[in-house]
Amino acid sequence: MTQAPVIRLSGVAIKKGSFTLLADAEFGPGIHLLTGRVGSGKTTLGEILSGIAEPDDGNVQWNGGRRVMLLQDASYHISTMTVKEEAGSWHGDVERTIQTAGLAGKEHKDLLSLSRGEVRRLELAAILTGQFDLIVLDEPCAGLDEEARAWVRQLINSHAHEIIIIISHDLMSLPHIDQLWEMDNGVLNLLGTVPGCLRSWKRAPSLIRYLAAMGIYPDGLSREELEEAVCRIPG
Amino acid sequence: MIEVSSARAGTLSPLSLTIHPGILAITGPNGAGKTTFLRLLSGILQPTCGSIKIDGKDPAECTIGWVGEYPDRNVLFTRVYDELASPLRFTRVSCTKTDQKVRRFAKDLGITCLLDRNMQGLSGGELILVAFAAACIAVPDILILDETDSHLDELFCDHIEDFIRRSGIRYVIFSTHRPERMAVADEMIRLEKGKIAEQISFNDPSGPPQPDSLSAPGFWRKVMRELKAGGDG
Repeated sequence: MTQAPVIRLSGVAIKKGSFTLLADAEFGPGIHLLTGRVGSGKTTLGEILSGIAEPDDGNVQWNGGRRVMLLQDASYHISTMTVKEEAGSWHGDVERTIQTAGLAGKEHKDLLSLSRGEVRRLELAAILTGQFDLIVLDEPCAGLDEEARAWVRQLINSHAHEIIIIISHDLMSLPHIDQLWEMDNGVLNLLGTVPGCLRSWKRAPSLIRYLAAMGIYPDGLSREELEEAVCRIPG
Repeated sequence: MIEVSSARAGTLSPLSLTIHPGILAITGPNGAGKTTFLRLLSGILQPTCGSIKIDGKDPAECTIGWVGEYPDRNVLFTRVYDELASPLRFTRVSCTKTDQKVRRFAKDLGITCLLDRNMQGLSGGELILVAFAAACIAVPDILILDETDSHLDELFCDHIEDFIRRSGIRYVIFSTHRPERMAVADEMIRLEKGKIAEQISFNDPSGPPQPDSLSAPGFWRKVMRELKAGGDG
């Protein structure tokens, strides 16, 4: 039995000009959502967690595994010509990656002829089938249409044994979320476990505030749970 | 009025429609032709047949503000202040006036603290805000926002919408996948496979009733209205 992976940030600090990021936290297996305003330091925290950025102070400790992957939101992250080559460039199970991405039959297609949703699906499939212990997804749904978002949700939902950290402003198309975190002016706070913490979420999105005014609280933050809560609106 | 008559380009079928002054949202699946349509309206792309007239003028004769999803590709200057000032400097507005306007815009958008920063090193959301301010500052005839909402939090989206309403820009056209963002528009067009699948005016009270659903822009209009009435947001 391998130990369940845990990543611990102790007294982590990083300074960028007048901005300081501070984080004391422990992330275990499950799906974590990291929210916060523009410029609050979410992406920087993602970079520290995935080892791209070194903290100026404090340390990042690992228990268990330590294979890490970060998906940042660039328009394209491609390095090869065809679907098959690109899937292979991730050094995972090529066939499984292509299957998971729903691109079977398109193995020899030029990557640039795929839609943006298809390219993102290939990336996510490679990341999520790649047996990483920590996966940081920075705005995984940016630029994707409704159908592609539903696909991303489904894929992430089936991966709760790793540590998955989703950084997003789009709180209306999320998969199942276990823990809610917020960056507030550079300081990382754990708001709690979903759905319990939804009742005391000060910066909740408009839908949650609207529902709360009617005494309705969703059972979670996934798209499906929000839709179910909307069905409880009287009238 | 923007009159699009049988305009055709790329994968778009010939499109004919009228766009009224105000805010227009364009939505539709990836690959439906949203960006191509925006490029046509901005005059970046010439229709292979048909025509587009903006208040009687050719798009190429109009001033256009454009913010894309990844504005770091279009950044011209190193310092945020200079990026914001550039559209005014290019049209020979005096230094004093330019300075006043840059500072007022930055204050209204809540980005004064960014003015002395380098464009490089801004977060994704901050970059969008600066690009947005630079696109608006010279009050273009048309402002086009191509999926800029991906990097902005809800508060900033709401803030930008108030800002647009007060900006005096005659036509604002934005593309988005999110129904909660479409709700701020006056009109909405849904493109599918290069064709107009739906065109709705939200200000028309005789329009079809909208169900309580996360996919219905009408539901989001209700959410916003009631939160505002309740003194929230």
